[in-house]
Amino acid sequence: MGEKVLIDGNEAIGRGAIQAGCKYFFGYPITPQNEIPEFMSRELPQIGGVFVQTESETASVYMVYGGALAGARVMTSTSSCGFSLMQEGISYIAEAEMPAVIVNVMRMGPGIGTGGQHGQTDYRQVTKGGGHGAYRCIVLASYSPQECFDHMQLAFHLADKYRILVLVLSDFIIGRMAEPVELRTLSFDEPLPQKDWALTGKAKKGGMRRFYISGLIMSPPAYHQHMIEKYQTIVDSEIRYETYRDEDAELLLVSYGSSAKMAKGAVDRARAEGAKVGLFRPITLWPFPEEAVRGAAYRVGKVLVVEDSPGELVEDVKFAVQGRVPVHLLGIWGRYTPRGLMAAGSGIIYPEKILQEMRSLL
Amino acid sequence: MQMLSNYQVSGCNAREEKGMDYFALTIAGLGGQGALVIGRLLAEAGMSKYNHVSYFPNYSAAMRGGESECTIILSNEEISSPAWLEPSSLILMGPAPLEEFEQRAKPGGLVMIDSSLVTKQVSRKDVEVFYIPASKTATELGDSRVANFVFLGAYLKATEAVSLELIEEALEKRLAGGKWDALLSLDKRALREGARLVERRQGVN
Repeated sequence: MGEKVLIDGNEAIGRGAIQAGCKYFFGYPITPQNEIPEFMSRELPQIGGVFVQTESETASVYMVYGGALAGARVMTSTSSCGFSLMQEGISYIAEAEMPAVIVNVMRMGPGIGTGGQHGQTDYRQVTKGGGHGAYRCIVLASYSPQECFDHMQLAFHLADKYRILVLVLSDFIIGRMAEPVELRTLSFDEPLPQKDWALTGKAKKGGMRRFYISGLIMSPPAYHQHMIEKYQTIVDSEIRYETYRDEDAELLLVSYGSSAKMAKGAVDRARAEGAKVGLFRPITLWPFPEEAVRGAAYRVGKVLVVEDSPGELVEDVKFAVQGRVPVHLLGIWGRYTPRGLMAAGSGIIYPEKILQEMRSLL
Repeated sequence: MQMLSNYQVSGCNAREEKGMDYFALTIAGLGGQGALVIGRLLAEAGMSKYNHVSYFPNYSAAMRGGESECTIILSNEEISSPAWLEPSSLILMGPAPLEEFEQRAKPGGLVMIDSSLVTKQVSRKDVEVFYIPASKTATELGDSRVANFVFLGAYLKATEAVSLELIEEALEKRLAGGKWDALLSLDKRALREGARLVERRQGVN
């Protein structure tokens, strides 16, 4: 067992990245993820790394692109509106198939949103591509500081394994909640391909000075065929999810990220009262655990999606169950604002509310 | 939306929890009062006694004067949710409307309010109420800003969730280096004074 420290999800992201060997961070401040650049700016110079506070998110994403082209493990982190500003660069990184990691600590949108408080309104953007060009990114949805730490290591591994951009999705609640995190090194027991394409410079450096991203110009069908096959390999081998107390369940909750935390609390309370409920938590939002959701939903017979948004994850769940099982949604209207906390993000979908909703469906 | 307390939830109340292995506490205050400081400290100290702890802060964008609260859970079982609307214990540090706040207490739970800021009485009959003159006590100790530690001492005396010594240890770790010695000793005195306020009350009962 590694050492356990009490840290929040944001610091866990930073520590996880360094654990994964990331030495280059380019970022622009935005709430609620500022603890990540703060941590990186403190730590990276001490291990011979580089931290750059950029002039904008657009600059951040292109510096990540450049660092990835040089074969390094590089990242940036941002929150919703900043993530939107990165979309052009993300599409370019996807086109060149560059391995990199971007963290999105979501805040409520659209637009400037709630100025830094919680929300899960980026689901469509991260899973279906916010940029142009029918590309895919692997999306890891962390639901605890420990998972933030672990997911950063997994993210860099998957990025290098498939030469793909990996997004780690968190939010205000996960980013700011603290729990003891075990600082463990994950081993993935599979060799990573050589980065023989990396632009490390010629001559003594033994690398390359340029490579041409020519596939799309020469033959769009061939380029996309190659990408289709690569994405299919990822779908076949990288789907991750967690099921919780769903064995004999009569109602299946489907939820991710911080909402899954609240849902888990509600499931425990409901079980203590004898109600048969369980939870299905997608960990990879892309590739989406479509078959697994379908299987669990068919077995249980009734689904309640819980997400802190007007309803985005629910679309993938409905698609998966193909209309054969009723799918209910507890969305942002399930929030409750304790009086006196009106300004603080206007409410949370508390476990008690989820419990109430489950009762009405059982 | 109506309050969610119109149903029964399982689980033990704050009083039954005494000496047991599950505590859920929400501390609410205004930015600058230090609700989050003592919450985080409680979670840090709790790590050496409990298998699991969680700390969840929720606050508005304003650094001073905005509403803020945090929820701390100490447990030997795995913690599912870090936030509950109705925790077993509530500390209201600021002068927020009591009528709204007290509704959040779980039946059988514990409510602590600053009797030097809130003059009203808690109307709920199914909770245990502690009127702690935290601001007044802190001012008498020399600095109104240590009212948070008066509350923490009082809470720990009432529940024995962790010992005062564990809190002091965590505090010393955080304020190490000599620079903060004056603050450290003031915090400790506030902690002890808070505990004494509850002790005195228990003596009367």
